[in-house]
Amino acid sequence: MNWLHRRCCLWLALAALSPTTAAASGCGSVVFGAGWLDGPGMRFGRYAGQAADHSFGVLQIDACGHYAAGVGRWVLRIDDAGLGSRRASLGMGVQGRYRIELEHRRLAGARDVARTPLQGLGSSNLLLPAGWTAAPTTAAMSSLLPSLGEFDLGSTRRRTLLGLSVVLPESWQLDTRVRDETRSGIKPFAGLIGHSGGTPRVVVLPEPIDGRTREFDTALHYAAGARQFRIGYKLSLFDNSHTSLRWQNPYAAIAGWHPSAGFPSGSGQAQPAPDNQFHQLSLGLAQQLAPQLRLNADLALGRMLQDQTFLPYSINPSLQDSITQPLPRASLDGRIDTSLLNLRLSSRPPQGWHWNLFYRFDERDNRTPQAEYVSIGGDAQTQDSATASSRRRINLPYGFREQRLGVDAGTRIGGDARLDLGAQHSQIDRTWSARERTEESRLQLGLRGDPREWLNLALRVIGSDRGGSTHIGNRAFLAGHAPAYIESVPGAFENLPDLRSYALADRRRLQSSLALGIAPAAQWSLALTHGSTRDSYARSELGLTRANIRDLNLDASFSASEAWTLHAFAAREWMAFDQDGRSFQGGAARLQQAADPARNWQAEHRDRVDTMGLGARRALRDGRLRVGVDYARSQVAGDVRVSTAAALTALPLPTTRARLTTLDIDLAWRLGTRSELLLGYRREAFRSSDWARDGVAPNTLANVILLGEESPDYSAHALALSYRTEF
Amino acid sequence: MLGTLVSMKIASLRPWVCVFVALLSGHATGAVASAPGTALPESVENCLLCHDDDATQALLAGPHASTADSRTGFAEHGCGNCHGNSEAHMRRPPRGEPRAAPDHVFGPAATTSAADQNMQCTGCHRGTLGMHWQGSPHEAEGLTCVGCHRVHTATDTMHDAESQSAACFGCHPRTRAETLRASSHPLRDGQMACSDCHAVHGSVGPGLLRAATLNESCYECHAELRGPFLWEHPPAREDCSNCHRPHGSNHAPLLTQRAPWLCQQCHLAQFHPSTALSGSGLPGPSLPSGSQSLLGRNCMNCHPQVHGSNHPSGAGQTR
Repeated sequence: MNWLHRRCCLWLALAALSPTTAAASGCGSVVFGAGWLDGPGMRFGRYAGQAADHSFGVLQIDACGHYAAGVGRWVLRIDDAGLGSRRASLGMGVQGRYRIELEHRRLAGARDVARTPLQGLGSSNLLLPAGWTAAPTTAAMSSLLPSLGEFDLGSTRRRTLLGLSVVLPESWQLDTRVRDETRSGIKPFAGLIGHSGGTPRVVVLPEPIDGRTREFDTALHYAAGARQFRIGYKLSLFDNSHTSLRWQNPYAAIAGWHPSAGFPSGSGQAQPAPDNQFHQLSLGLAQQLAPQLRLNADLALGRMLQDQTFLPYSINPSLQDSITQPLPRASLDGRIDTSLLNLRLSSRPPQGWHWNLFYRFDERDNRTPQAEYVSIGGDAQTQDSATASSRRRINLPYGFREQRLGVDAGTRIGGDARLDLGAQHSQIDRTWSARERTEESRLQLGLRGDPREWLNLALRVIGSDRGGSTHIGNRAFLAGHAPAYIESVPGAFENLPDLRSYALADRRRLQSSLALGIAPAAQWSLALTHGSTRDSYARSELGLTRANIRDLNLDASFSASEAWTLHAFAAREWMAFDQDGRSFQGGAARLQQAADPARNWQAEHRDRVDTMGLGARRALRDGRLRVGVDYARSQVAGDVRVSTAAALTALPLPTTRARLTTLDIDLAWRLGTRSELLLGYRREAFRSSDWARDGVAPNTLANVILLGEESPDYSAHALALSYRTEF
Repeated sequence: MLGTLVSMKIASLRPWVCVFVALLSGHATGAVASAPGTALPESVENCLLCHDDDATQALLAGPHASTADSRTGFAEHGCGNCHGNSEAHMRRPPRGEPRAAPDHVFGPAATTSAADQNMQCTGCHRGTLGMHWQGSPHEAEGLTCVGCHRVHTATDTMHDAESQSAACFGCHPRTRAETLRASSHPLRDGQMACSDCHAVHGSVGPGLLRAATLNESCYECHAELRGPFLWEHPPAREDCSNCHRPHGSNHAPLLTQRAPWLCQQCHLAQFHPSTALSGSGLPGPSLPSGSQSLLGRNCMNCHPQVHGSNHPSGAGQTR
């Protein structure tokens, strides 16, 4: 038995032995009881989204049986029926003929308490309370704090899934799946009035979430002899019941706004996520060309569509009256054609080596029509349709094509040792991008072996180098604005010409990992792994210049028997990112400042994450008492150090911290051959500090009314007592 | 004593529970949990003479031992369908010598290569799960099917999301650490499974994703971000991982780095986008004060539509 086998077996043993799962094989059990949640509510796991200081019921059903003279089998499972996140599933079928699966799942997310003066929560028309005192900034909004009402930010998903598999004659099989998922709740959305030059004013809105996704996925499979074949079709429809989001402007009119934009007549309107569709036809073929040679070919052709009717340039009637250049079209008629081709030739010659040759073609061809839109800035100004207006904007239907060609091979180099080598070249061609083409070459080396039966060593090194065509930083700016406006902009750029976006920039990457596995005895497994990713953007004068991530993981597991297991892990990760910027203003000094190194700044990000966990399972008193304990802790400290050149100043920022601790204790006391008493306890403590949120109230900023959420800082407990019986 | 009383009380409720469950199913015709009596192949009876243990009994209750399904081969070959004819194993060994092993042994006691072991499984499962296995990263790593799956059980633990995650984290400890961070997908308590996004037996997508691309994977649950939009945000259109770490991050929502500096790595325009944001933007003793590019939702205080906007006046991702 080699090290990998031992390790897998140990982890499987750990995964399988839980005090709260059935001790006996098979199905036929009911768990019921009651529980109590103490504290402000948890953010993670099964209790997330559960109301605070609240009792809950425990109900879990696991049942199965046979029908149709014993040929058919059904399985029913209900989990966490008394909690906010719960699931029920029913599966039935005749093996070798058909299978039907029905599942309903509710997933409640974490809740954050927030505050807003707006009324009409849950609707898409948010109004200010009667007697609202408007002002140009929050400083003079005397009614802001008294008007604040609390609400919960968060969302809940409800998913229903129906699946059907039918085994057809002649080695064919049909799999069909229908999914209906709704998501409801409230999320934040910045409601902005104003345009530029210091005129924007914002109230962060409680945006209602009420979206529905329906999916239909069917595939016909063929598998016989040396050939497998698949043809499938997928349809995904997203519908948003909110087609607009309106709000009343809480700010009084300011200089630069049209007088009608301020309170009480001023309103804003935004476009929530539009309805969209996705269709995809896929074909797959796997052919054994020779006993040791296999070909995989996969083709997927898809289409993304979006054609929701546009909202007007402005919701403000006075501003609508100013429109001289109407919308160029009533809706986008957006369309992206997707094409994917994957080819892989893989061989496993008997001489102890293998090789793969692969090619990937992935295209997102954006066929959305282009047009010129003369926008109205933030529902606050009349339409400026002058030929040199900055409001004349042309949409850029961004698309790309990625091609990847690679080969990898591996061979045994004596005993259990193995050497793997790989090479890959990729090329991405983009439209409307600062870089029309990027190319990346990658080499990979892997060395692995078991010098001893109880020892495993693995080393992997990957080096890659990305370059590409000439970087033209203002390409999108030039393509997206009116020529007359571009002529009026000194330097004809928006972002600094020396900026290199990290997704496009030249990059040298070196990744390495070293793993040491020790299994000194059949019951023990130890693993020490170290990983490192070092990115250098040496040719980027501005933007991300360096990114280093290192991690160290230690794992230990022990499984004396099915009745006694132990596992522990500890990990530390270091993240370091450096970026350079240059601050510059507009107006007469724009070009001078844009080239002035004295206005440079640098931000160094340093994050350190420590994670540890300990778990134990023990069966006592001849298996009548089973105990499980799990403890996990994740602790983060993050610093951003900003330094500047002579013309600028910077002050230090506090360290942000977060510490999440979870403790689970589960006891199962067997009362009889078919019944047991279960006691479960969970403690979740989350301490965090974040200068961007803590003490930042709705009225802290002058021009933004925030929701006033604080960093999570709580300790919550859940206790559940239940009875389990088998039938 | 109390436990016994409770147990007796519950026992009296068992028939009602059975009826309740049967009604829910609408198809139950017999006893709820009792398997129908089906005759075992003769060859299996022979194996059971020595292997009449819990594991073997559990196998008989599982799908691999279905005699009604001709695809399993169990009716014809019995245990030999996976373990081979094992003629040497079936013969009584010479006195003093150990019994020969079966032709195919799986897991810790295996004497054959991972590929040989897996061939027994992919022979039947090639149509769906095994189609992309050869040449996949897990195959290249030398993983065996039984390294993750338990065949000699009535129910494979890999069908349970929590057990599945625990098994995956055994080889992917960094991913486990990421899922324990403050901003993470809900993998705890099995609310999501690794297999919700990953096709671990091989796939056409990168990183063993079920979907053809990373973004298509994300759109499965976040279809509202799919677009296309009038005003696209190119990095979001191309690759969600340009800004997000899918398994967990220190920076909500799953951001690779802290904003506003993350945004400033691609946006250095005049005035506020290029400003050196530092502690000087923190709130002072008098209100209102502080930088609206730094506090609260930072850049998203004004630009909430970072995944794309479809408002005709939303070119700046503001509507």
